[in-house]
Amino acid sequence: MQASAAQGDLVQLNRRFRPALMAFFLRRLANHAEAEDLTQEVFSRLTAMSPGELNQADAYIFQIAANLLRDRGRRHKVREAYRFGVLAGEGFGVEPIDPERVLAGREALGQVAAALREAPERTRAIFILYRVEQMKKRDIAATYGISTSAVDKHLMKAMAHLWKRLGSTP
Amino acid sequence: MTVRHEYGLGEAREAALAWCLRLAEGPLVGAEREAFDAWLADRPGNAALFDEAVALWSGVEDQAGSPEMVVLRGQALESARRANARRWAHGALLSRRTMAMAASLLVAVMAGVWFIGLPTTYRTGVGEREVVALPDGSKLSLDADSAVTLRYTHARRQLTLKKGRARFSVAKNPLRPFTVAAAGKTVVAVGTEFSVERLGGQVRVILYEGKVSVLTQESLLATPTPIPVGQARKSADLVLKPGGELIMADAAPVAQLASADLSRSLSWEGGQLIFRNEPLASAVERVNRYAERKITLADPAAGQVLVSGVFTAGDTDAFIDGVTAVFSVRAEQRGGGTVISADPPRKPVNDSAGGASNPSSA
Repeated sequence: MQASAAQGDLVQLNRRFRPALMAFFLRRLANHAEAEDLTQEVFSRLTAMSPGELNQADAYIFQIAANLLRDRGRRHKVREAYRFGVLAGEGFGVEPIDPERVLAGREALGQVAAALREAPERTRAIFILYRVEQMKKRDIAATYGISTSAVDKHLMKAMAHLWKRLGSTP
Repeated sequence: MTVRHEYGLGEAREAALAWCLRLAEGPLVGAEREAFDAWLADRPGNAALFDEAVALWSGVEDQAGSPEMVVLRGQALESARRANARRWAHGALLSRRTMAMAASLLVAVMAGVWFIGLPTTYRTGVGEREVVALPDGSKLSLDADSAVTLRYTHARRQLTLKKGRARFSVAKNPLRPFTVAAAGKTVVAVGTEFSVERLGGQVRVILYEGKVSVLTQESLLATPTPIPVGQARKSADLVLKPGGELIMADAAPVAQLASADLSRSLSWEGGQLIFRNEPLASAVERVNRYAERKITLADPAAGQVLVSGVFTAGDTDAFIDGVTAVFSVRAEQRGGGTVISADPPRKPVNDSAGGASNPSSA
């Protein structure tokens, strides 16, 4: 991967965007395998980008995804494959990134922090180090002298807590 | 993926979370793909649950730059630093490799927060203005006689207004909060446009677009907390709207909200200083950013005189002529500069012949 995404960037991009891209495609395609392929395709385009372009990835990652979906639509011409409604109505431009749907209508700023404050201190710290500060599981495990599967448990615990507090289907 | 439901959410939701966390690590490989497909197909509601898990996952990032999250992030990094320090204390028990890993991590974590490289400083001299394109795509516009230091890490964009005034157009990136510190106050922005000015004993923030939070920090070690604004003591991100100005006195625990005249407050970037009922002390401080020969005020009373007018930045003489002609102040050349003092209170007319004479004599 010369002059393209460094390994560290890729780790970060996976963490930030892979679940969201997968959800994006799954909402629109009946075929799960295809959703995975398209997610992977977005990533292979990202890895070909220069570091400068990657800094702007937020701006057009869902644009890439929408374009892939449109190209695929042209190829297949099978509208019934779309699971929800007609894509044209959704506006192909910028997909409002998912949190809006779940956290909409709440005076959102501060909600996540308030919910996280209720989690045990170490769970909260590990979750933030992983999710926001982009630390590797292995490094977090070494820092706290625990196994990576113990790190996983803290992450699950934190996410489960967020679901209970902020999820729309608790 | 097998998840024992031990997080109090029920099996299906916990499986959704587990898949989301799994994907956050990278692509599914081999049998995992089939397992994921099988799970989605297993129950019609599973896809929606996965969707929701991802929404929560993304939502955390969405708020990563909120002031409350910035506080929690600081605490998490501090927790990691302490955990590493503890491991050092028991170093004799650890393998050389683990030690090395812990050491490099310690450096990485510390660097991530406080010490990466040397900060860059942008500085303007008296009478200079400068516009700087920052490495992340943000823009910095510096008023005269101002200084901003810049410390960028992968996790933070930390700027400090050392003196003067600057306007910031912030490129959006919630994972790298953009903060501007000035005299113990910190302004946190996600994607927005605002200016920060140190004026007299105050820090002033004008918001042009978007939303900012303002934190105050009692000491270096204290946890920053959102500064309460106005009577209702709400936080800045809720009450400060575009076109508004936040005024924080150094000593006061509560910030005041004022409305800003945006075209007037932006005029310095076009080389004009526009004042409307501005205390002379503030006006002089701004004029002095462009003045080689400084203006000083003889007394506090002069500083409180309200002045108005449009002046060309750098034309200090015109400012002095203007304010002395129109307002009840007078100027005097002294040393290398100009001293402005308030006119003495008017006395009865028969006193005007001269202070030395005594009309009651003779």
